[in-house]
Amino acid sequence: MTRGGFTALHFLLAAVLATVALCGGCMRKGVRLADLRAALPDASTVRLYDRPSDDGSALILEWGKVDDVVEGVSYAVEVAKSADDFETRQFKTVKVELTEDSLKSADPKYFGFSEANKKFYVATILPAKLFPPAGAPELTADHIKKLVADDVLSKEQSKLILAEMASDTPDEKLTDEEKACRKWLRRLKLYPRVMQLADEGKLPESKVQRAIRAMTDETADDALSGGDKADRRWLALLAAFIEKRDTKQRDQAAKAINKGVYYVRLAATDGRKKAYVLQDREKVVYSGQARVDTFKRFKLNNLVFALAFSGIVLAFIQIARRNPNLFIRRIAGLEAVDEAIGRATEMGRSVYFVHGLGSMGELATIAAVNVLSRVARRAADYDTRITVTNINPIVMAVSQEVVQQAYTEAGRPDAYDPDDVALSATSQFSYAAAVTGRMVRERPAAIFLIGSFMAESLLLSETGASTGAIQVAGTDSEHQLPFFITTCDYTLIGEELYAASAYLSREPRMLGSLRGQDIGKAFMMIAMVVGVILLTIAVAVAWFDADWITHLVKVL
Amino acid sequence: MWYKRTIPLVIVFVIGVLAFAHNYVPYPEADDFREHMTKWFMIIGGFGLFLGAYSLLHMHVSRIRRMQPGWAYSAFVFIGAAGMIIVGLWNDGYGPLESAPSTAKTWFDWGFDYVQIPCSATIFSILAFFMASAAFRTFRARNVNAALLLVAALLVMFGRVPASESVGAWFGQQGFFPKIADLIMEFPNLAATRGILLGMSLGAISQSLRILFGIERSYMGVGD
Amino acid sequence: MATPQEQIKRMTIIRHIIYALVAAAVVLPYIVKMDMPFSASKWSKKMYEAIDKLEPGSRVLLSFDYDPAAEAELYPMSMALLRHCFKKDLIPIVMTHWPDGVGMCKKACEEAAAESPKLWGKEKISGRDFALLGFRVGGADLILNMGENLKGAFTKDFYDEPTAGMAALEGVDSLRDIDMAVDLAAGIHVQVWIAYGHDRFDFPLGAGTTAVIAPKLYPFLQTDQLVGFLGGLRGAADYELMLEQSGKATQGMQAQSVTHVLLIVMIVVANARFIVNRLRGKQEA
Repeated sequence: MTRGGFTALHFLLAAVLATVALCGGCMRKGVRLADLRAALPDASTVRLYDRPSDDGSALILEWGKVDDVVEGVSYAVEVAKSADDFETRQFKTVKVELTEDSLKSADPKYFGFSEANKKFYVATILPAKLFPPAGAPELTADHIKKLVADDVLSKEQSKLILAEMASDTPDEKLTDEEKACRKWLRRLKLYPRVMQLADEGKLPESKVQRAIRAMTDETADDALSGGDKADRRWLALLAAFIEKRDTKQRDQAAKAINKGVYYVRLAATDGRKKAYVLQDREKVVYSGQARVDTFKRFKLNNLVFALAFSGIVLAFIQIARRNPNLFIRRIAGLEAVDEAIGRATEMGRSVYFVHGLGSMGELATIAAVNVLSRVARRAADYDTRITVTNINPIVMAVSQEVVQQAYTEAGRPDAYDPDDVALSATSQFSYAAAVTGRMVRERPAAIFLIGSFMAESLLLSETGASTGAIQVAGTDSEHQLPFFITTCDYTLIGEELYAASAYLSREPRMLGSLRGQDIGKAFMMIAMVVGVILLTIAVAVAWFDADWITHLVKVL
Repeated sequence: MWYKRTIPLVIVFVIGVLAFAHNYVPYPEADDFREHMTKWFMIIGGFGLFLGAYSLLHMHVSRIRRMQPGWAYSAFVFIGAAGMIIVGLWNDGYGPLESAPSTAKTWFDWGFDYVQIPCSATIFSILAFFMASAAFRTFRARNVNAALLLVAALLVMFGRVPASESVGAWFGQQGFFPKIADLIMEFPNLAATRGILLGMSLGAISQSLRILFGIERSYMGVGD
Repeated sequence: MATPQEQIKRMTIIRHIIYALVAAAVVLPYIVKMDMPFSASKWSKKMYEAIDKLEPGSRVLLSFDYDPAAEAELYPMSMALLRHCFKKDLIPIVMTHWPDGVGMCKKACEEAAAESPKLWGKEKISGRDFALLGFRVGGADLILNMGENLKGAFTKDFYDEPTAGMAALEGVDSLRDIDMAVDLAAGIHVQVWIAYGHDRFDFPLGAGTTAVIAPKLYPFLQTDQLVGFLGGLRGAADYELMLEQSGKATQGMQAQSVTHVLLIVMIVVANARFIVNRLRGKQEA
C-alpha cells in the first residue's frame, strides 16, 4: 500500500466520522422551530386565573391542548414579578410535560369533572415556592473574623471552625473529635441570628453576651459543669425560640409574596429553543393575582348532604315537640338497664361503670358519659352504690361531676363519694388489670362496659362474666363487638350507643332526633340501591354515562 | 345556674359551628384556629393529669386508712409511684431539668423495660386464654343465625393457620380453606361492617346535633 | 338442676381446664417440632410485591405505631420489613406515633442493621442507609406537618443528629417525596395514615396490624387505599416466607395452628354436648 493510499483512507475515515458527528449534532438539536410553533395553543385559549377553592397560594395558567405535537416538546411557563423582568431575564420557569397528569382533568378537586377539562393543560404557579422569602442570615467567614477580632475566639479555634465550615465529609465518616467540632459549628451558626435580634433591639446586651459565650465555648456537652451547663441549656431554648420566630416570619412573608401580581408567558420548548405564544408578533404576557377563596367548592356535595341530614333531624326534633308520642323501636340493651340496676339493689351489691379508653373528644366517650348520667341517676334513686374507673383524667373529672349531679338530683348529695369515681391508670393494660381486679374483688352485680374499647375488651367482659354479673356493653369500636356479643348479656352496637342517652331520657326532642336519624338511614339505603342499579345498567348496556353518580358522592 | 348551663352551652355551640365551618373554608386562619384549639385541648389535658393523680392517690389513701380488704395493694401503688418518680427525677445523675442522652439506659428506662412492659405483655397474653374460654362457653348453635355464625367462625379460624393447608393438601386443594376464609372476610364480613359503619356515622351526626343545639347536656352533669 | 352458684363453680373448673389446655397447646410446638408448610396469603403477597418492585435507593417510611404489648405480633413484621428493605437496598425511614413505640423502633433498626452484613453482606449505617426518626406528638397533625415539611416535623433524629443534611433523607422534603409507606399499628393509626397521609399526599400505603384489628382494614383494600396488608402473626409469617428468612413468626405459626385447632375442637365438643342436651330435654318434655 502506498503512502498516498494510506492518506486517502485516513481522509475517508475522517469524512465518515464528521458525517456521523454532524448527524448526531442534528439529532441533539432536537425539534424544529416550526414544530415548536405548531405545538403552541391558540392565544385565545390561554388564561391566567386564581386557583379556585384554595388558600390563596396558587395561580393557574390554562391553555388549549394541541393535537399531534411532535415528540420531545414540553411547555415552559415563565413567571416574573413585573413585565420588565422578562427583558432582564429575572424570571422563574415552571415546566409542564405533555402527560395526562398535566391536563386540567387530572385535578378534579379544583376544576371539577367536566369532559371539557381533558382539552386543556394547566400549570400551577406557586409564587411563594418560585420566589421564596429571604432566608435567615448564614454564618460566614466574616463573622468568624469578627469574633476573632473581638477576642472571643482564638486564632486556632477560628482555623478549626473555618476548616469545618468548608468540610463536606458525611457525618458517619467523621472521627469523634470532628463530630464534636461539627456540633460546635452548629451552635455557632446561631451567631448571625442572635446579632440580628440584637440589632432589632429584641435581645438585651447582657443576653447577647451570654449567648455568644455559650456558642463560642467548644467544650463538649458532657464535660460542662455548673453555670456553663446552664448557659448551654439556655442557648438551646434561645435556638428553639429563634427557629419558631423564623418559621412565623417565613409564613407571613410567604403570604405577602402570594398576594402580589405576577406576569406569565407561555412557550413550547424542546429544552433548548423556545417558541412563545404570540399576538401581533409580540410575546403575550398575562398577569394575575392569587386570592384567598371563601369556600372549598369541592366540598359542596358534602355540605349539601350534611345540611340536608341536619335539616331532617332538626325537623323531627320540632315535630316531636308537638307530637310527643313518637314510636321508637325497642332497644333490648337499654331496656335492660333498669333490670341490671334493680338486680344490684336486690343483691345489695354495687353497679360498676367502665368507659374504655376514649378521651373526651370522642363521640363514644361523650355518649358513654351521657349514659353514665342516666345510670347514676337511677342508681341514686334506688340507693345503690355506683363505681366508675377511668383511664383519662378529663373523662374522670367529667364523670365525677355527672355522678355528683345525679346524686344531688336524687336528693341525696351526701351519698356521693368522690373515691367511687377515680382514675386507675393511664396505660391500656394497667387499666385493664385495675378494672378486672376490681371486678373480682368487689363482685358488682351489674357491669356497664360503654365507650370506646380496644384489645382489652375481652379481658374486661370475660372477667365480668366469670363473676356472674349482668353485663351491658356498648361500643362503636366495631372490631370489638364480637367479643362483647359473646360475653355480655346485652350489647349496644354503634348507633345504639349514640342513641342510648336519648332513649333512656324518654325526652320527646331527643327521641325526635332518633327518628330523624332513621329517616336519613332510609334515604341512604334507597340511594345505595338506586345508585347500584343505575351504575349496573350503565355498565351492562352502556346506553348512558353514569359517571355523574359517582362524581356526585366523590370525596375530594 | 347560668354559669353552669348557659355559658358552657354557648361555648359548645360557637366552637362546634366554627369547627364545622372549618371544613369548608380554605382560609389559612381556619387552620390556625384548629391548631389553637388542639393546643388548648392538650394544655387542659395536661392539667387534667394532676386531677387524675390526685384522685388516684386519694382513693388509695382512704383504702389504706380504712384498712379495706386488699389495702396492701394500695400501699404498693405508693411504692411503685414513688420509686418511678425518684429514679425519674434523679435521671441517672443528669437531674430533672436535663435529658439523659438517648443512648443511655437510665433506671427509669429499666423500670419501664423490665417491669411495665412485661406486665403489660402478660395482661395482653391472657387474652388467648380468655378467648378460648369465651368461645367454649358461648359459641352455641342456638338457632339458624347462631349456627351460621358458628360455621363462619370455624372456617375463618381454620383457614387462617397453616394446619388448614396441610389438611387441604390431603384432598389436593391446598389453598381451599384459606380461600374460603378470605371470601368470608372480604364479602359478608365487609358488608356487615360497612352497614354498621354507615349507621354509626348517621348516629354520630345526630348525636353531634343534639349536643350542638344543647338538647343533650347530660355530659355536663346538668339535668334535663 | 344445678343452682346458679353450682353452675358458676362448674364453669370455673371448666375454665381452668381450658386454660391448661391452651397453655399446653402454645408450649407444645416449641418442644415437639412439627412441620407445617403454608403459602403466603393474597394481601401479604401484594404488600411484598409492592415493596419488592421499588428501585434501590427508594425511601420507605415505616411507622411502627405499637407498644411492647403488641410486640409478639408486630415486632416480627417490623423485622421482616426492615430486612426486606436492607436486602433490596431501599432506605427505610422509621418513626412512631406512640411514645412507647420508640424502644421498638430502636430495637428493630439496630437488630436489622447489625445482622445485615451477615445476611446480605451489606453494612447499614444510621443516617446513611436508614433514618431512625423516633417519636413526635401530634398524631394526624404530625402527618400533616410531615406532608408539608418532613425535616421541619423531625428536626433531629432519635440519636439527636439533625435531619437537615442527612444522607438518608436527601431529596425527601415532604411525604410527597417518599416512594412507599407502611404503618404497623396496634391501634387506629392506619385510618389516620390513610385519611391524612395517603389521601392528601398520594403515596402507596401498606399496613400491618394485630389480628384483632385486621377485619377493620378490608374496606380500604377494596378501595385501593392500601396496597396490601399483613394481618397478625400470620401476616408476619407470610412475609418471612416470601423473604425466605424464617423467624419468630414462622415459629409462632405452629403454636397458632395447634391453638386454633384446639379451639375448634372445643367449640365442636361444646356444641355436640349442647345439642345432645337439647334433644334429651325435648325427649323428657
